[in-house]
Amino acid sequence: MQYPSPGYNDVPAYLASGLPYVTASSASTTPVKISFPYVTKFITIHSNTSSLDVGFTEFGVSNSNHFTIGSNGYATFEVRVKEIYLKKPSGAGTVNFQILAGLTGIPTASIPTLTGSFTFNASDPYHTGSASFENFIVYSPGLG
Amino acid sequence: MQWPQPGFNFTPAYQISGLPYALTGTATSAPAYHVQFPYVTKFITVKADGGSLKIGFTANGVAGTNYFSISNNDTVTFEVRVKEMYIDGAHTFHIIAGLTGIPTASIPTLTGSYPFSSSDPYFTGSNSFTNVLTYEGIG
Repeated sequence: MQYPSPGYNDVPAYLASGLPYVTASSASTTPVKISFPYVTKFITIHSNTSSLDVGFTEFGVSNSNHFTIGSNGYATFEVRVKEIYLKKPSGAGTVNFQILAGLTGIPTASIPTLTGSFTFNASDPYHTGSASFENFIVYSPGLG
Repeated sequence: MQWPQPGFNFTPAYQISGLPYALTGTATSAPAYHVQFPYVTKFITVKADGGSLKIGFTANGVAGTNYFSISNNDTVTFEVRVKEMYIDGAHTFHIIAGLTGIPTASIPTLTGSYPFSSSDPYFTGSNSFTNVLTYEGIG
């Protein structure tokens, strides 16, 4: 019998240093999605040709739920996600970026989908009253 | 009987401050400069001095698209647990790393070169891959 996989809220998985994930690519004004093989402990991004918008949903990065990294800027976020979206804020051409993330050993299948697009209900933010929303975490603003 | 050595997933080893590891050298290309740490790292800080450098965690990755670029005079810290890294370029680098007491023999070889299987990412079904951890994002 194998040990069970750690879940999304398994604290020790976030206390150990991360397994490295590195990638270099480019983005235009169309969002690029980066999917991680395991849930992240932190994400460091370098934007080295112009500014770069970072978000956690495609809608969010295309609208107001994003963080902008300046040209030749670095940013580190200690967030637990399975995907991020990157895009060039405006103009023609592309922006080169590199990502170095620290991964936990938590499988991404255990992480809920984060979204702000469902109707937010403060009294039931996880939509537990609806089976169709069981694996979503919904809050807005903040995600998009 | 001795105490057993801490393993790769022994969380407390990552919670205390690291043993210092400092190195200054000149990066190379094809092949990239190979840094081997005596123990598993808790964090790594790298400074590029004289020009930009690429860092990665496999020789194949740093030569391809699995690298992180550090611009001249910039310093970046990563809280990653590895036993080795590669630095590609032609300029001076400075490294300060914090080491755990975890022997590097206990850390799997990280690679993205084996066929990735999301249903068995650790290749537990094959003895030949017992000490290999493979996933996209390594190279």
